[in-house]
Amino acid sequence: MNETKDGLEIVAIPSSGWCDPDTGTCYIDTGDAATTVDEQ
Amino acid sequence: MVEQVAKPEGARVVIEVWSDLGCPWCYVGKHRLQTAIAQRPDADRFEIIMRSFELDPGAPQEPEKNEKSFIRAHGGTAAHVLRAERQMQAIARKEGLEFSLDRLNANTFDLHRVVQYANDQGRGFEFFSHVQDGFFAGTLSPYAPDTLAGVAETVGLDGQRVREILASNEYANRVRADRTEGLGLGAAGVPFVVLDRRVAAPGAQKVPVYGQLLEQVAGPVPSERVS
Repeated sequence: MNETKDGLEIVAIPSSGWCDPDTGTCYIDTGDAATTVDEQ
Repeated sequence: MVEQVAKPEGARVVIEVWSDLGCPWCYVGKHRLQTAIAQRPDADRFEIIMRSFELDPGAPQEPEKNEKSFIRAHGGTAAHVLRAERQMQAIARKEGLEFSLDRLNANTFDLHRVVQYANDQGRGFEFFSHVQDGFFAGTLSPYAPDTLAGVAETVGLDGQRVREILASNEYANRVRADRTEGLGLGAAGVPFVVLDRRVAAPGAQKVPVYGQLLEQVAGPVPSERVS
């Protein structure tokens, strides 16, 4: 379910991959597990 | 999704993208977003504005091999980094994108300062996109002032002005403010794409998802409208 924060709807659809804003570590969503792929 | 009213037909839609240079998903996600936009006959309604998000503010100024920067920041082994890089390369290539394994990483703060200048001139996306594509293709070293000045001139900016910015501390506060704002908006993943300040997507989404979000804020593509 999507979250709404201060009027901005943030989609909850899993992305293909992302980089963590705090650590810079990047992940691939394999569907059942996240795999570290790269940094920054 | 929360039901929202789409903008009037033809109205401009601003898409803000929080991104960093070394972030491979920012690269893949950018191309997917562009593809989704290009699939609409009203593609010229959409304006992408780059927002700065440094993922590794402590990265050294001196470029270092991708493998070394990864291990410095996160630990692990060279074999682990290579496996991950090949995985990402396969994803990128499957989507028709170049992905060099020989990239050099360094601090991106200065690049972001130039992006801020480029944004002021209405060329932020073009500038960053050009640098990003060259960086991942392995054809451009983004840490040399002359390189950035050259790219700037390619997209219609003043290369000398870029050199002046790089020699100063201009736009530093805006780079930091962008990161703070992104986090405040809920950036749980980078890239962080915010459409019309109404809907946001953390991470690199697939093309159909971006298409769905475009439709949510801009309405269905004109050819699909039912009279």
